[in-house]
Amino acid sequence: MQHAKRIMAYFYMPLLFLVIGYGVFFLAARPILDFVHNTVHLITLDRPPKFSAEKTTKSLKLVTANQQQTLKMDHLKLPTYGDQFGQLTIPAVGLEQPLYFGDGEQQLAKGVGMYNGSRFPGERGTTLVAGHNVTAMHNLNQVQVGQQIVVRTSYGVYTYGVTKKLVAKYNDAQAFDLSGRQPKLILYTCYPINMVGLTPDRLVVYGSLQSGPIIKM
Amino acid sequence: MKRFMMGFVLAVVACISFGLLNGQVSAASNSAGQSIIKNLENGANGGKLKVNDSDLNQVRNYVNSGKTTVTQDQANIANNAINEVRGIVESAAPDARTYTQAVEKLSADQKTQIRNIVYKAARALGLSVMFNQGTAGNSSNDTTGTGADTPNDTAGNAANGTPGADGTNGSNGTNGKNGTNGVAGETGANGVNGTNGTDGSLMPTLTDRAGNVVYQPASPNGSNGTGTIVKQTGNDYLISIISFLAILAVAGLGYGLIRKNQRVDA
Repeated sequence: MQHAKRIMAYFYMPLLFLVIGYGVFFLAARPILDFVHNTVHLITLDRPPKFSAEKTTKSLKLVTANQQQTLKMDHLKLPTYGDQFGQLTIPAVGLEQPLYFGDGEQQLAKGVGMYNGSRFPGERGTTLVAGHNVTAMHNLNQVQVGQQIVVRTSYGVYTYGVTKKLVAKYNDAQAFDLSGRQPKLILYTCYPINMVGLTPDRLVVYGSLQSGPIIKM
Repeated sequence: MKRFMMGFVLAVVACISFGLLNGQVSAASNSAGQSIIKNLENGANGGKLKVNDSDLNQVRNYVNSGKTTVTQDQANIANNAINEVRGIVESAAPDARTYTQAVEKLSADQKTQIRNIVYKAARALGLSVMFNQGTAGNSSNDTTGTGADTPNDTAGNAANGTPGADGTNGSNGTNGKNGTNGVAGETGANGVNGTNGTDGSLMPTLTDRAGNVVYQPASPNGSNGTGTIVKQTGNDYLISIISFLAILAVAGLGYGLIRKNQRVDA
């Protein structure tokens, strides 16, 4: 019995120290390990990551077909900053991203973000949507004039026709003009599209509303 | 059975009453919120100084959010605050057509007054305010020099009424870091009247109790101090890659040193 215990000690003692050693190493080096793991993962990506629509929108009920031509603002539950309220799709280029209210870093890390100083889809005015170039909006440069952009929200489905595509400076006020009462959509991302790092240029795609319920006060 | 019927009728009446009451509260909240928007839409200087679309939209989106309730009392306080600020702007800068023109004409006292009004209104609405003190327009782009007297004179911001120590005047004039007023810096050889600079000390960021952004001014990193609503949508992977290479280099160095010491021991 004593002999068997001694033999067993050869197994569980090294195992115990291995677990403790690895645990200590893991706890101490976790920040670096995470960083290295993420960096390696980033470098080895061969395509932009896909955000599954099911995963990101499981708690959000998106409208699939419009029931009405107009909607009353009073009856809508519009989101607060940081909430996901829709999904942006450009079927022709396979772009499909969750749409958030707000275009801060947190929102752009998860999908595309609507500037909180622009109007909601369906309101009379401009909806301005941003997305990162190497991930969410990587396919934006393939978009052609005439193609469709679909924005499914929690209150309606909006279809926009692409009217223009251009490259503009980030501070070009005319390119990002929010004035006017025509319901339109502006999508933008950093340009060049494959550029690593921060750039002063933006690829801008304009869409005008083709269908979807108009929000009235 | 009679008691049951009575109970049922009372429950139905209570539900209907509650529904009506709720509807009325909702409608009141909505109309109260809309009155703030309407007031802002009027701008100042008889409508010649308009509130920017992006600013107005942020207010609209907050008021119309499903989670926002604005009572009539709150709306009254907010509307009074708007009217007070309008009065200050109209008395100081009756010809202003842009924010920048208006801000240039405001004195230090008036700016402080406006800040206090914003604080008061925000408190009433349950919002937190953080002013971008002296960091945005006032630091790098606020240009107030108008003459040609002293080339490097200071033209700091008017916060404490003391001359700005760090500010330089001119087309690229920078403001005193401490938000101090550059009295002597009104003139400068390269001094041009700031047309695009915006006053950082009057650019608040408002957040609600949950920390959600309600209002944020346009990013002040536009050219010539103009705000831009466009975000940086590129990924700064370069830093990550450099950091990763640095880690590899350190690891390589460590390995090399160990090998070297081993050879010495042998």
